[in-house]
Amino acid sequence: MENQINHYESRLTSRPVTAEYRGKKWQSTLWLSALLPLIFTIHPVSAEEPLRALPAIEALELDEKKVKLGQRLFSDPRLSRDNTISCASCHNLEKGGVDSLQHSIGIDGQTGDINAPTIFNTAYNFRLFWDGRANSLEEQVSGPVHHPKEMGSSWEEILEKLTQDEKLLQDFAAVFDEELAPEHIESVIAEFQRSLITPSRFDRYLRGDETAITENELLGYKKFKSYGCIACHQGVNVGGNMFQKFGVMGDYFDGADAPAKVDLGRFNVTGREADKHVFKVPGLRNIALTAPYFHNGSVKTLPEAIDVMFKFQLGRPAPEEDKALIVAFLKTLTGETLEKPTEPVQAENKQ
Amino acid sequence: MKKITSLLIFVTALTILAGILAYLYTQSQSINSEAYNRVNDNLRSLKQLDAEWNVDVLRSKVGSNQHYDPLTSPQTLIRSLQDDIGTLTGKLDQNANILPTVNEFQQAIDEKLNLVEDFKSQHAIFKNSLGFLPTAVEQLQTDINTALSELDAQKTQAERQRIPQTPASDELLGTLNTEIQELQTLKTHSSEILTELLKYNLTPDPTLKSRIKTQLTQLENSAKNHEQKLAEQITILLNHSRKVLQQRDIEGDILRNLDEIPTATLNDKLNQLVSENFEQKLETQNTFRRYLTIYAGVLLLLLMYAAFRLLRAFRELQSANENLEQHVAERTSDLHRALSNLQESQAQLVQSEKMASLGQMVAGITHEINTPLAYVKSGLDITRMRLGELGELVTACGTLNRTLSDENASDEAIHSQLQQIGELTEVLEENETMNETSDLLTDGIHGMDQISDIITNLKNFSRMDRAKVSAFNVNEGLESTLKIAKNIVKHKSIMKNYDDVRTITCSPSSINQVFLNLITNAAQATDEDGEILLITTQLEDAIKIEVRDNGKGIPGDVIDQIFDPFFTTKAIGQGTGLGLSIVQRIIREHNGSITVDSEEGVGTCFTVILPQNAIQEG
Repeated sequence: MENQINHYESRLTSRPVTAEYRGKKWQSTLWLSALLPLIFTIHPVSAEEPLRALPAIEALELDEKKVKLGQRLFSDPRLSRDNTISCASCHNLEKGGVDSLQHSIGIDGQTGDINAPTIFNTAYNFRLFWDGRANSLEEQVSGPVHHPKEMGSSWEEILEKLTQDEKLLQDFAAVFDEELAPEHIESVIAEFQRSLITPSRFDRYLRGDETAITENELLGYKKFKSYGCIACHQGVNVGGNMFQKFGVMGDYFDGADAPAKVDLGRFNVTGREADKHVFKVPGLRNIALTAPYFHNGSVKTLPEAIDVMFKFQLGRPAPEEDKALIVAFLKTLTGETLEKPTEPVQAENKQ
Repeated sequence: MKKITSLLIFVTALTILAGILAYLYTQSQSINSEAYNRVNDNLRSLKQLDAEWNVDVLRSKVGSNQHYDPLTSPQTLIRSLQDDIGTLTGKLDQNANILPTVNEFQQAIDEKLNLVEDFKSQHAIFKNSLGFLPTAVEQLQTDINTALSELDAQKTQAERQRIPQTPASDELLGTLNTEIQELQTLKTHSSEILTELLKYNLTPDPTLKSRIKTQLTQLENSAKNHEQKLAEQITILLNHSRKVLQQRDIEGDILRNLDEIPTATLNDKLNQLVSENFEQKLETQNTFRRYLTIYAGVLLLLLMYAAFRLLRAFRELQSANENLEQHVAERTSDLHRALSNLQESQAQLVQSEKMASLGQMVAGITHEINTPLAYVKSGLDITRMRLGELGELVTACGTLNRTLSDENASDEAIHSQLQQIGELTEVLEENETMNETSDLLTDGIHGMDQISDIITNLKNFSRMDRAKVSAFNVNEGLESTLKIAKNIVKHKSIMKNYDDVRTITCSPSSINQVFLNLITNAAQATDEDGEILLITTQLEDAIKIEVRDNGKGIPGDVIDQIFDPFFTTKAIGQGTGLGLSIVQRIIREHNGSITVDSEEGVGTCFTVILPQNAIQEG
């Protein structure tokens, strides 16, 4: 079967139309018509929406002990060199998992170069960081830990501090059967992050509860789809599963005096010319809570961000009322637990 | 030393043999079939995933995938499988002939991952523009229609105003008509562009592309002639149309590249290589198994040989054991013989020691006896001489007697005879013959007494006349010994300090031999004017006899040896070295003890303690 698919695939790709090719055209059409039903019958397509509901937390089968440990370390400032910054410092769980600042603040009061993305639903990001330089949550952990403007620490330093905490060591020993190592810290923090999912009203709608959203919001969803936002912001995390160039239909960075290094995006990782200004498409869950927007936090409000998107990504104008509808839709993506201020989860550990 | 070396060689040889065995064993067991299975499983999973991935790319392409989660979600798994395969084959592949393919495979997968990323990004743009095209055209046409209806209205008005006809009104009408015509052409063009772009989407024909491009350029040029709103719409349409053309090509390239990435082929190749490697390993393993079997066989033979050697050695040992018994018996009898010879010679030695003592004794005794015997003999000789003179007197007296008895005898004869007798008597008196003879006889008797005394002592000393065991007074024993040894001790001053001792039951001749030996030793150890002190002490149930001298003493380094047989300080031939040894034996036989205390240059003291009942009479 695979051979057939490969064959079909190659036929689908554009090849220079030669006489020979023209002659065989009907053959490929035959292939196409023969194979399409095959592909289509494997996955019934009609019912599928481009957005998918979050799974139930129970279905994730998380290791409760790891989650607890990760939760503790998440707000543990010992992960930073001067014991002032924890993960929670920039990923405030009460504020949609961000710090609401344009650029986050690290040790010694240093201001970073980038806007902190939300910590919620990161398990559904195919890569981490704006430039996607980490392939997994585990891999991501050591990024901020070592970043000189963020936590500015090192694993040796952190292990030295943590190994003096008998209680913590005991709890780690209950999970890992070996001496405390950086991998363990990464593992528990990543596991905690997997637990940070925020089911929203829209998830209920996707599960079939048509009353979960209002008509306007539904209309907004339809606009979201028809205007093409859905081309990138799709899947379970409404994005977060692909890269895209910032400025598809126009140069967003044109006019900037000297583009900052962070503006080069994925180019900083791959060095590939085509990757200039390419960023991970952010997931739009809780987008209403995570202002300011974009990698540099340059845009303060959601409607402004939508304007930018329309201009540089979609390359078309839209009436204000449609944009308002889209904003209404985006608000349905806010986690229901985050809609109202809830009991701060991390309060007890904060110092 | 030789033993250690051979032991070392033996241990080394054993270690080498065991090492070879262990090596062969591990080599014949070394296939990590679990790892091979895992590689196979991983490759199969990857192949499956890869195939599904391809399908999902196509599904996204044709629009049946509404989102990219299916394209994204296998990535983690693919990466981990890929890493796992890399690690595992790294372990399995000692000859590194799989590694290049693994690397190639991993590169291909990485490339594919990147291409899929590109596909997602580029397809999103393409999909957006393509999806928007009909709307864009529709919006443009709506605007054109609005403009057209406006123009129509203007035209109607112009036509109405045309009466009366003026060149100006004609011109206006002409312009309006041209505008209407242009707008209608624009409308047709936009519809055509849409159709052709959709066609191009399905069949990317280069000819079609250049035609579309020309049309788009025309459209762009015509945009200047239209009012701003229309011009903007046209620009949007142009942008998206160009995006569609561009993205369609990019996407085509991506898909073609995706198609050209030989992940499936490499997967198969890798699978084959791993299988070959496995078979090769299996082959090697089998070879090593064969080696192991052969080696084990050789070892077994060696073992059997060793066992055979051992058995033979055991047999030899056994026979040697038997021979040994015989040998031992022979040796024992030899030893017995030697022992009896030794005992014999010991007895002879003891005998010769006795003879030596006896010789000394006899020499002394002979001297003692010779002296009285000499003067007894001379006395007797003189007496015999004197008996001649007496005989003449006796003959003269007899003649006178016969003359007197004869009547016929003349006085003269009588007188002469009387005168002769007087003369003879006178000579006898003159010579004091009678006194002298009497003295000589007295001396002779004294000499005989002396000899008799010596004989008695000798008899006492040897007690040959008595039973072997009898009551014995040590004081008397000492005395008689002193007499026997008179010749030896005559120049020494003998001091005695005898206690009033009770008799003991013992073998007197043996004890006397002890005394003689000790006294002789003491005498020999001292100088001309040496002193010998004999002390007897009655103890509670024993008697202590001490023989002291003021002689040269016994050197400290030999004092422990003096009781050893054949130990002697005397010159060769002077002593047998058995004296004190015999002494000790005799004392032991009497359940007594003998100790020595000596200081060089001061003297020696031998102390003998004899129990009262040294030997039971019997």
